Amino acid sequence: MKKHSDTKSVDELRNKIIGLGDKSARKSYYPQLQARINELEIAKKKAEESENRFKILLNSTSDGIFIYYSENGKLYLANETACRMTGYCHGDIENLSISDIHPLTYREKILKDFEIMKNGELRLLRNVPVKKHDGTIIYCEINASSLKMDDQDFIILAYRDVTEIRESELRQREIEKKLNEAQKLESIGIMAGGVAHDFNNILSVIMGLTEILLQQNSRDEKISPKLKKIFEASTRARDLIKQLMTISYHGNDEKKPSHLISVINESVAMMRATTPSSIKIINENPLCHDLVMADETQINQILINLFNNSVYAMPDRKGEIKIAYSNEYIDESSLKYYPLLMKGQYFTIEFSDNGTGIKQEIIDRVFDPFYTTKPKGEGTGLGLSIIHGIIKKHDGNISVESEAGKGTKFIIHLPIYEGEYMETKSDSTQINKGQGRIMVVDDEETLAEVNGEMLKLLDYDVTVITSSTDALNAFKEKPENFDLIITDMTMPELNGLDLAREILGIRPEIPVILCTGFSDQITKESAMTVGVREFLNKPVTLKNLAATVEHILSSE
Amino acid sequence: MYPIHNYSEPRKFLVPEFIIGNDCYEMVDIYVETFLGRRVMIVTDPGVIEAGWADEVIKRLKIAGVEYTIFSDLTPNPKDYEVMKGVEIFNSEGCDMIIAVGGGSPMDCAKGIGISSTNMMHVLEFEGVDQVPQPAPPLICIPTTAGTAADISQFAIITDSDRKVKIAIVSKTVIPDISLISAKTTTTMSDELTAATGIDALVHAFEAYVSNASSPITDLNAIRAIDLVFKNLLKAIENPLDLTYRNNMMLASTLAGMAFSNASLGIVHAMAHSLGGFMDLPHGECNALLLENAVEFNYESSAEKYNIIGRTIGIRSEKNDEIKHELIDRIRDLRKSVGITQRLSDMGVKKDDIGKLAGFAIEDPCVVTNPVMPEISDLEKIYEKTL
Ligand SMILES: [Fe+2]
Repeated sequence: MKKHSDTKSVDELRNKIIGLGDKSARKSYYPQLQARINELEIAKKKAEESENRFKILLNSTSDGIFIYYSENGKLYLANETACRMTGYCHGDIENLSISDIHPLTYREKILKDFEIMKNGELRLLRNVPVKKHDGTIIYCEINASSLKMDDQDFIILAYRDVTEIRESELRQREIEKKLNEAQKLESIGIMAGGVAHDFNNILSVIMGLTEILLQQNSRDEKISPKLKKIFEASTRARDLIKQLMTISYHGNDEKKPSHLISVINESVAMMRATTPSSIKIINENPLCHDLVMADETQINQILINLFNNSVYAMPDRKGEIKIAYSNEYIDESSLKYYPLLMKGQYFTIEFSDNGTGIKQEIIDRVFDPFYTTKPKGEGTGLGLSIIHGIIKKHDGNISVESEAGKGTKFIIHLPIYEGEYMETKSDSTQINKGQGRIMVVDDEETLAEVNGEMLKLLDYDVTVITSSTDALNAFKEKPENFDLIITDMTMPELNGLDLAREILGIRPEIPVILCTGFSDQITKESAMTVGVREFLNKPVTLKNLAATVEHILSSE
Repeated sequence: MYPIHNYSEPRKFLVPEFIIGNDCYEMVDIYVETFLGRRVMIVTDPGVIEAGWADEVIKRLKIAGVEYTIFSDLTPNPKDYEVMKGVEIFNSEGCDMIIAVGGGSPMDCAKGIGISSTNMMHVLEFEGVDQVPQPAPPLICIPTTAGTAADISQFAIITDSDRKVKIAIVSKTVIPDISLISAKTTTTMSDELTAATGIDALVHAFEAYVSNASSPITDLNAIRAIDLVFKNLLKAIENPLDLTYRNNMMLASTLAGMAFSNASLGIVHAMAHSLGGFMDLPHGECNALLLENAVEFNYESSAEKYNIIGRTIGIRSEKNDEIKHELIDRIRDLRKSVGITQRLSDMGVKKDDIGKLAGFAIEDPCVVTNPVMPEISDLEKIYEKTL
């Protein structure tokens, strides 16, 4: 093997050795150095750009980002949102530990939670209280992840301020609770009302027949007082039924535009007489709109019940009851607090006392029917549920604020009536006899008979019919034989309103009186368009019947 | 008196910056600071440490407050693994420059450490001419022998321990950044070392002068170096502490280095490298033994130049044959007078080794600049005559 025998390769090697090879040329390392410097410059610029982008990204998020050293909890970095959220400024915040931004009482727990996060399990913490620089507390949802930078372990926490969401959730829950409460009261009301309806019919028979017997035996010293006692007891029963029916929202009422302050003043004057003088009653009479579509009797009932409660809440008969009025406009934002109201102008009554108050744990139940804290025999537990029912019927709202030992305040909102006030005459109370041919229609035989007997007692010529179809046939046969039709509303086949329509189709000028019970879903307006002249609420009393019939026939 | 040169061939002359003069090694700290050295690796060998020259350097570094690491775990004819061990220490100690203090072995080793460290390559990967991509860290050479001239040359000779071959790394990147050349450091050399290194310088000058790559500038250096060695080597041995002869020998070595670094060498070095690589024999002695037979082989091809050498050292004959024999006699006389009297067989070389030795030698890059291109059998014959 003779490597150097090839002349060409020998010459090449010799050239290289004497320094004339391509690679032997003196090298200037300046370009290489320059290129390296340029590379570093570009890298530096890129790093700066990247840091800028990172900063923009970090500060554009609506979450507060905290990065802290996992080993000692000291903060390494916090973004703008984090500063804004906690009220610290940059520079100050970096001197804190992560636990410093939480309330003292919560620190131990949060450090424990973060310790778990440190182990790599990603976790979301909900509703964590965060203490701002000024001491106020906000609530945050915290998302954690870990990070390794320059051989150091960090934890990245993203804080999302959920204070407002949390509040609105709490509010929503409150609203739902109120709606549930209202629904519960409504169903109880319907149930009570249903019982009351049947009971009412039974009572009508008892009272009607008792009245008839009383008229017939007014001079019998032996029977008359007993009958009177039966009638009185029945009257009390009827009042109770009336109250029960008030709880429900569909009972009949006598609403008309009323100036409530004067109505309440009358009630207060009455209550003053029966309230111990050691209890001070402050009744403010400010100038405000108080015209409300209201049933004055029921408003009176509210005042009586409230007074009774307040007086009961003052065991030593000392204290103060205060009634104040104002106007309030319920707008979108206040609807949160009164979910059952409509937007609009309201008349507000604040009825407060400084009695024993209501314990917080039972305040939600005070409007429940038959719920009472009074000993047996002292109360029915219906007082506040009746008030609730009445206010509901008036499209209003009642709420209660109370603190045990300090007193109770009821706040009642009733919608302002936008129409005009009308004077109404009070009816005479005398029972007058009269003349006329009357057809009485009711599918319940006893009721039909009682009504018939009462009218006969008043000297009217009465035809009692227990089927609406029979009644229509009878009328068709001799329409001129009747001066007045009194019909029940709820009947099989043909109801009272349909019967009225048929009859009025034959003789449009004939007066028709419709007897309606509690459950009859009928508005006066729709009955009036059919041509019904008047209404009688069940149970029909002699006095009421006499006055209505007399009023109609006399105007014929 | 001067040979005729062909100036149509452009030539390059490459030498490092160097300072020559007694005590100039004391300026080492100035250069460490200039090169911004923070932690210096001192590459040396146990003999030099014993002679106290490493301490001279450390003294200056301490004054300058520069940290240092000493690496002396190396042998004559430095091996590749010794170099790589040095690279490992250089990197792990976080060194940023090298000071080589000593003869050819520490200086060649330091060159290998430097280029391997910056290029992150094994030292054997640089074998050949211009195979080093990136420059080395700053290198200061302080020679303590007068002969090898590694402080001047662009050569680094490293032994491939697996192949048992010396490889030559020829590159500008192994030229030191500065050499501090002081003859005072050579006063501690033994007679044998003075003789061996001195003859090495003579061979450098001889081979560079007759090299087919010689140039007017290398010729000037080479011929002056031959003259100086013949006049001063024996006297340096006889008067080891006389700085006059030591200075002349150091000058001879430096001039010969400038010559061979740019004109390269010939078959003596090719064959000596083979002996050093294969049998780990000392470089100077091998050179000394081989020179006479190499001159005999080369004379015909470069008689004019050999005649000038002859006249330079005072040979008065006119006939080529006479000049050749007188020249060989003068070389033999010098060699024997400085105490190199043994033959290759005395150093353990067997006849059976010759084929292998010639095979390695014919592949040595030094062969290509020999005035005549030898056949492998020519080299075998020269080995045989030198046995
Ligand atoms: Fe040499």
